[in-house]
Amino acid sequence: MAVDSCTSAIRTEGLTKRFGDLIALDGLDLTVERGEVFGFLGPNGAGKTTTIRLLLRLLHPSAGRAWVMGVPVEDVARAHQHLGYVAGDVALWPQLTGTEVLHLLGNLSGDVDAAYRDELLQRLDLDATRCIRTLSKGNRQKVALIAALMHRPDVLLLDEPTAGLDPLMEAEFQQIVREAAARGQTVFLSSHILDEVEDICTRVAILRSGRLVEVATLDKLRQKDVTVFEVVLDVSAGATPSFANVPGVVAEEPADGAVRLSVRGSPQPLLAELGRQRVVSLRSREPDLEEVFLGFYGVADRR
Amino acid sequence: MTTLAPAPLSAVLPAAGSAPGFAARLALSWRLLRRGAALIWLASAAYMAIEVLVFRSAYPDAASRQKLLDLSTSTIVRMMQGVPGAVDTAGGFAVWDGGWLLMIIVGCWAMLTATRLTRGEEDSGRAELVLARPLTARAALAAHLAAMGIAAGGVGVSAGLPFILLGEPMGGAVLWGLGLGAMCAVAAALGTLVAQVVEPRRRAVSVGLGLLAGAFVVRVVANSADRRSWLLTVAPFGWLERLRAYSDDEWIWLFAPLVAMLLFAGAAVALCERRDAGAALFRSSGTHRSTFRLLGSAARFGWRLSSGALLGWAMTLTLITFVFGLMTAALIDFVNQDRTYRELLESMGMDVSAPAVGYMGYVAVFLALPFAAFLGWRVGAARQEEAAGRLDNLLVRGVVRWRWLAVTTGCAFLAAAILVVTTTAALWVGTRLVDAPLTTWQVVEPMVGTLPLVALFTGVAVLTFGVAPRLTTAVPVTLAVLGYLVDSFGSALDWPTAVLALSPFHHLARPPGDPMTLTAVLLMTSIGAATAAGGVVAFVRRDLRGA
Repeated sequence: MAVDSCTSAIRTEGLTKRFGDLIALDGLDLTVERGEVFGFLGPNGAGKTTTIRLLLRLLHPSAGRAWVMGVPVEDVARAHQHLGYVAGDVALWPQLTGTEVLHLLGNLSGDVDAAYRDELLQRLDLDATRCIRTLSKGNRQKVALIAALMHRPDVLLLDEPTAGLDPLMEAEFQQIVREAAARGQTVFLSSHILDEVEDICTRVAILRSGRLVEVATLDKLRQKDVTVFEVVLDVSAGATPSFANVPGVVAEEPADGAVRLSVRGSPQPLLAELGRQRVVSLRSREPDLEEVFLGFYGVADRR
Repeated sequence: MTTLAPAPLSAVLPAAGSAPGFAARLALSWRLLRRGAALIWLASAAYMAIEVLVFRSAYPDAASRQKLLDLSTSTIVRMMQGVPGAVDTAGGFAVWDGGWLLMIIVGCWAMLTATRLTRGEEDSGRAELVLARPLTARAALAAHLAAMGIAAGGVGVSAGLPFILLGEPMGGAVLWGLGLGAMCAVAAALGTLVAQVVEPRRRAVSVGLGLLAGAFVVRVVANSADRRSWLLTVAPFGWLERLRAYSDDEWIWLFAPLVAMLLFAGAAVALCERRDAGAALFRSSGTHRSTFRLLGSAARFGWRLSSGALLGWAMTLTLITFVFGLMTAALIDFVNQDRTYRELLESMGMDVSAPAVGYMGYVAVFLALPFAAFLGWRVGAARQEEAAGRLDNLLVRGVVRWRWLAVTTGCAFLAAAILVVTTTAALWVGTRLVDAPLTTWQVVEPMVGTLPLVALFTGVAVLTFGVAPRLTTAVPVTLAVLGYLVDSFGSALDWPTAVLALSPFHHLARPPGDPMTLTAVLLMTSIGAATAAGGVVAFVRRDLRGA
């Protein structure tokens, strides 16, 4: 299908979903460019799955709009030609074999690259001759992954796709995603496994209680506001003090005689507090993604 | 700060230990079956009450009641309904006339529910949540059996109570109630036992229902001649008949279902710890040769998913209808001989001026009920695909919702039409074998007349799926049963015409004198089409919903 080369892979404008009184997604404005591996982060119930189901038009938005490769998502026949999807909770027909499921879903998607499908079966080490009923959760996940990838869609919507995969298969999955991105496919990866996002994503969005908190590249995110201080204190006189109530401190990990503190914004209040302690050593560094992530939610929890 | 306050787990989880675990499992099992139990209790009570009231209305005096006794001379009638006992009393009549159908309904319900709660919960993996608690598999199964026992007790009470409330003798009511409740418990225990041996749920249901069907066939054979009546001793449905409630009151026969129930339940409990959780004693093969038949499109796949069940429905209904066909000759003889029975049939809406032709109309109305119920099941199966999340796989691959539901609707109607065709053929063969005085068209016409009703219930089921998906099966099936009961018994109970006219069954053909009107055909078909279209629109506009 011809697509304007300037078109974003995914775009949403004020996308909102309410379930009764609950606001599951609140005015999401998001643009994912083609060829990106985009991480979509948030704790359980933040609205990640709701967003993906809105993009698939399995849910109807309460307000706002969304496009996939420039096609409004309500035009499902056209929009879905560009999409591959793996659900967080894979549900397949227990009485069918993996081969039958792939055959059925391939017929519905069309344009299956049979050689690529067979390659994926081999790389993910899946015996597709078995009935779905007898497959483990991880193996069902593999069937869903292959079904989503085998027609080489422009955009892959992956909702926590590695839940159930062993570390070896997770590494293989990450390699497959990198190759897909190298071919120009866009990957929208919802996850709360921060290492995975850190390993393969170029840009991430952070969602909290249905609201977009941040969208940035990983590098920018690390530089953003949060700094990690590793402090060793002389505590011969007593226990390690707590810095939890110091303004700006969003996470505190005490260890024996030392403490790791994530600070958002100016470190001035922390430095003032440290001035009153007997500091043996002080080191600051950029946070890893987990510390950034905790930074966002830590602030929320303090409110 | 990311610190978690400890949740008060003790408030939401039962304490460790077998007794609280057993109580919690019992409460869970009861919760999973209570709605179905309430419905079956209500149906049992209503059915028995209506039978008593119909008897009093149709057979008001001793002379008319005396003639009913002659019914036992008809072999074919007694093969289906059993050997009549004291049918000149309201209790004896109700137990004989309605008991056979009620025991089939109760038996099937208990079997299906027991399989759902055991094999179904294990297939879905939910049972593991319970078994991971400090509770043995035996205790969990015993708790489930106890919940089914409560349901069976309720069935007994609701089948016996109407007789007492309507002033019939207490002894027969208690015996009949105990018998039906015990039969319900036997079917539940048998279903639980089958679930230990066979997997997956689909296969366990087939085996369980097959055993029940076998038991019913044994009963039919047993009733075909006095010299074969000993067969009643070996079939669960026969034990209920051996009780002879309201005539000889053979209390001793209550031991048969009691012993069988204990044997089946004991065997199930003994076997449950000899197998793995989630698996049966006979493991089904984890693989089969992949076949790509009917995997080319969503529509064809929908047909593949439902074809096995359609075959089951078709075989069962075809067999029943074939027997109905065979009964034609016996019925004609009886109607010609017995004025009271003729009046009873007339009061229930059958034209007996040409009994064979009238009987065909009666059979068609009776079959319209399973046809309508089939649609509730068929569209309900589509809802199951949605609830389980499997429908997502289709709808994220460019399958447009309105088209999917429109095709599903068309296939549901087509499947019901296939049922109409196969049953019509079976009825025709049955009538031919006994040389019934009927032309082919006289057999076919009333059966074809059920198609507008099938269209109507297709629409009702699809509209329910669109508007209130969780009620997709319950609403059409309940409306069909209510409609059938209003039509069947409303006339006998002299209900106003306006009430009777509300039932779509009331507008079906009553040959030879009362064919289906064009208005009824057009009205039912157009309401069916409109509600189906409304259902499709509602489905397109709503979100997909899980279980």
